Amino acid sequence: MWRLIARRLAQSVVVVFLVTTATFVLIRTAPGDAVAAKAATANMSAAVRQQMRDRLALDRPFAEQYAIYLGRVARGDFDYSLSSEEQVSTLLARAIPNTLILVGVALLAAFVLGVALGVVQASRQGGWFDRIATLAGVVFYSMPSFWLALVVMLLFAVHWGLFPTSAMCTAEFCGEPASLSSFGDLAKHLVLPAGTLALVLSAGIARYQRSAVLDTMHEDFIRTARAKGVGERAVLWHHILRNALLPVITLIGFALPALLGGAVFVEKIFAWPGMGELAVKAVSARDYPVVLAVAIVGSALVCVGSLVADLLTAWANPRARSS
Amino acid sequence: MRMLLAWMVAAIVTALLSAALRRSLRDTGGRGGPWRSGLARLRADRASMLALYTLVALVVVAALANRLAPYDPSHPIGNYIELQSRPPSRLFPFGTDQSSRDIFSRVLFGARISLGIAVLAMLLSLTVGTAYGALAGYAGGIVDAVMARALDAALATPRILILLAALSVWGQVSVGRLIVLLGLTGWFDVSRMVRAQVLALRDDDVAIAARALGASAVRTVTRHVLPRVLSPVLASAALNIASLIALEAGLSYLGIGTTEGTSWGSIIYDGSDAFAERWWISLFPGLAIATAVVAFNVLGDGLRDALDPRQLFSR
Repeated sequence: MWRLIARRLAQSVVVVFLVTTATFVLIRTAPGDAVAAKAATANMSAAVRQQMRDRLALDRPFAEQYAIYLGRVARGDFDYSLSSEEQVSTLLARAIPNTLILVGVALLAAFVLGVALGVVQASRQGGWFDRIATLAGVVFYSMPSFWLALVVMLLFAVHWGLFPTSAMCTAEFCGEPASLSSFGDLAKHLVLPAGTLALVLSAGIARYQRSAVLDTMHEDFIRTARAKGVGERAVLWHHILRNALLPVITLIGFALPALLGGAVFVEKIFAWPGMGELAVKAVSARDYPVVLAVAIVGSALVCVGSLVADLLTAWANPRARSS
Repeated sequence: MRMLLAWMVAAIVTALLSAALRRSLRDTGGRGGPWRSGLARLRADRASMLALYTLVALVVVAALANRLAPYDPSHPIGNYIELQSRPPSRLFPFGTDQSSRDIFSRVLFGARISLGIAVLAMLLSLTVGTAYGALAGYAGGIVDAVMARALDAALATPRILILLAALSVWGQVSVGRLIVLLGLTGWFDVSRMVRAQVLALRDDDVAIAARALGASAVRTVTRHVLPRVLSPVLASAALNIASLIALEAGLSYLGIGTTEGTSWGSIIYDGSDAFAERWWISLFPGLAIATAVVAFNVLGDGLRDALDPRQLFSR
């Protein structure tokens, strides 16, 4: 168990290190340097420009710059945003919790929906519900999340006016201390963006869950359970599901990069003030320190997430603990 | 009149090509090896065949776009003001956009850019991914360990964030650069698969026999190991295109894809600022994307099942 954690942590460090290196290479291969990019948008005096060059160590040798860059990232210092004069880490600190709320709720909803769908489908394999759900699954799985988000917004927010179109809170609740009504307000704003993400993800989970249940159905211990006289419903929900859940828990770890990627678009469309929205805004403004920081922190978050998924698997499945 | 004729020709070409494809997938009774019988299994799968015909139709439409499109896709039709942002009608089946351009024609031409970028990026991904995977799998030992760890790391990184990072540094890119960028960020899953397969096959009887006969390492891999690995690669080619179409559309939708040519995603971008009032601008290219992606996904799944005998029993 501890070896598993240690191994995964080491792996996470490697991931973050590689992504950081990739971003450094990106900056170095870009036309012009950071100061030139900044000077192109802002009116800067030569003295300020030189000051900035010194701070970023742009005149030092390549290897030294790389070492300095690594050191800064390790300390969580991502420099200043080019467009807002704020520290990137400050911007990120504001955005990360919002993304975590969105992604967390979406993941939970997708998991519940996907598992339920998959089990019901498998228990009626080949029936009309199974066929319709399979078809719908392929369609939702294939649909680009940004387009689905647009359609969802048009129907539920604009046309029927059931939910707010954008942001995290109504003006009267923004910045207010948390209360029951502000929590309800947040939930209302969360339905559409989290629902869109969950819909796409649950299509994949349902498909996986369906085949996992079908695989488990033919195991010996299921026959034993039936032979002992366990009812069909109890066999399905206690004996089959408990075992068929294991591969799906592992799936969560793999789904995280895609989920965070989908969040980029969904956050932009619903103006959800998270990391994705921050990054998209920054890309249009050529504010690359922000985008690079989002890439690095996003990868780190995915690593933490898959570590949690691994621990969950190990907790749920004694067989995985020893390997 | 000429257009009607062109559409009829397109329909006939689609039908002929589909029939020819179907014929080429016939079962030869064991002759031609496992590939042939695998592809014959694909023919029995109705969903896959339907997806295949849909893709044939899409490719024909893309190829003949200049004959099939009723209007010039990139210039306003007639009176600039009068035909602005018209909802779908008999004259403009998909409506017109803010610059009085016909959405239907734009979607037809968009197929060229969207499919073209996806196919070329897929080829790049597959080449790089297969080479890397084969190298790691066949080398084994410490080389493989390092290469595999790097692969794991790459797989754990959200692709869109890397693309955003690259585009924020480089700004707008040309079509060629975009293809390279998409291709070089999409080969990791192919590589992992090829590596696992090569690792399993590098010391089996076929490979040992080849080496015993004096074949070099390169020849053993390319002639005796890789050909047996290619069927899952073929399946993942289709799945790869599916995700590439959606990804390219996403970048264009954010306004940071390529500016050369109009892809389906850029049409969605045109309509996204006022989606509620002018929904038709974004809706139809979105449907085109969904159709293409569903078809490629279904075909990819079908290929995977048809070409991998183990899958036949595990379902």
